[in-house]
Amino acid sequence: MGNVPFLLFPILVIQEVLNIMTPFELVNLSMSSKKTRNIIMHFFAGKSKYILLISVAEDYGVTLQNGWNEWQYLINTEKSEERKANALEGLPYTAEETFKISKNPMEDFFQLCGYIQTLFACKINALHFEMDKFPLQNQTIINFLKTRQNSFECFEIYSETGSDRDLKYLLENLKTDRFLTVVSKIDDDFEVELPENLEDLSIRCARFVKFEQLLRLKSQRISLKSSSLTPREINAFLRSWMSAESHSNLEFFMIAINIETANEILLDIPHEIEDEMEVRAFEYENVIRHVRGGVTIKRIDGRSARIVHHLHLNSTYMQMYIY
Amino acid sequence: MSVENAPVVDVDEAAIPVEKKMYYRFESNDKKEFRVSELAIQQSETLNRLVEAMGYTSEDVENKPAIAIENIDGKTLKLVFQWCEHHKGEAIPVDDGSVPKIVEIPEFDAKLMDIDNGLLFKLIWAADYLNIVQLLNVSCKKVANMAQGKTPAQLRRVYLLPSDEEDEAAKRAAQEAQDPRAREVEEEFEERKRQGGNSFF
Repeated sequence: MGNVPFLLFPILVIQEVLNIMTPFELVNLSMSSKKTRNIIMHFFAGKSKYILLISVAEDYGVTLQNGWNEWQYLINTEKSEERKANALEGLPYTAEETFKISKNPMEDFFQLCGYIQTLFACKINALHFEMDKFPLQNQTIINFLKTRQNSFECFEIYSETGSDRDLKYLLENLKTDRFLTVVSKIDDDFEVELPENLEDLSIRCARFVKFEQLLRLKSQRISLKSSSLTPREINAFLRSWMSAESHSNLEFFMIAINIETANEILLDIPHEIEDEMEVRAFEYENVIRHVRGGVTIKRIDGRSARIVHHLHLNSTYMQMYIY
Repeated sequence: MSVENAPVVDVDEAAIPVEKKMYYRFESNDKKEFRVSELAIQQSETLNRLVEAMGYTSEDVENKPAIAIENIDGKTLKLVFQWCEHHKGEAIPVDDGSVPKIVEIPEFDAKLMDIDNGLLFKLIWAADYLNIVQLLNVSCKKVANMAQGKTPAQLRRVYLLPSDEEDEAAKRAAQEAQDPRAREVEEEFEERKRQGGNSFF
């Protein structure tokens, strides 16, 4: 194959070619000279259709996403056997990845993240953070992300061993506007201010969330998959909702309960018992959930909530669907 | 339809079509003449507007001089009109905003563009100048495909990109070609900047 003098094309043709290239090709082209880098930066300035997802997991990951299509850079000191065996083929959308072996993966990750964010003029949308993978570097990573932008849309934080100190550092230094999922072992006496006004807040080990803190949360969907709240406190939470004193935006609430004391939750709360045979569908975030039976309580402004018990993996949850 | 059978011919090599469709005559900058059907011309927004504005009758087409296309040579124009004839009657594609833009190269187009890159370069310029949207799409796709799996260094070779050093050297050469006084002023300005001064005066 011969060569074409790319920079001698009319600017509209250059833009057309850039429009067709994948992010990987654009990044490589941008690295070929300052001139091409400036052209690509100018091309995306103010109109990028890509969002950036950052992951600190088995590898450091920087993913450019547009709809279902994604292009992912992975960086680590070596490629795991599991990853070598994984092929991203046969998917109904584009999913490409490129792997970089690095002597200093964190530094390369920072550089790449900054470079791509600048090149494509895009925001870091989501952070997937497995805090057990590079535990000594967690706070450095958080500090780096803080330098990139003030707020993010989505955090997913994982830790099997428990990283309370780093989790607290993250929640105190980075802000998420829409989604927070924490799947981490957390001590009961953990103290942190949770973001209040999210679309979705989900915490697996939520025994640290005390009643007063629960009342302050204004998120639309709240899932506390373990809890130290007593039936009396959950009863008080329901009364607070019914009198419209708190949680005016609430659409869905789920909390782990003790089945033996579940009846105490509705003590002295007016409610209607629903037909066990009747199925009602509730839709949140494009997920349809079918609910059978339970009870309905009402708020003073006319809104209703269906409350059901849900058994999952030896745990019982109270689910509340507001409509 | 194969590239070879496409109904674009040099005027002195083929018979005039017997159909009563209107065929316009165009002349390249190296004086090659082409007859192109009215429907094929619609693929080019530039030519379509031009012939509409001219309002030629069938007699005009025969009696008046061929429409000159000054900045495209015969070899390139032949490819352009072959493409237009093959795709005549097809809708002009509208950008759906997908990123990266999805463009498929049909077999005919792939064969048509199986040419040296010098001619491909001219074809793209022509498609842009004549505003032939789909020809521009497929030819740009061909250029974009050249980047597949290439490193930055390989891309510099494929796309004939000057390195940063070469760019700097070219910039210096351009400066040296400037008026000597202007160059002196610029050098003085650079020197003051190096010394930490933020104002020339």
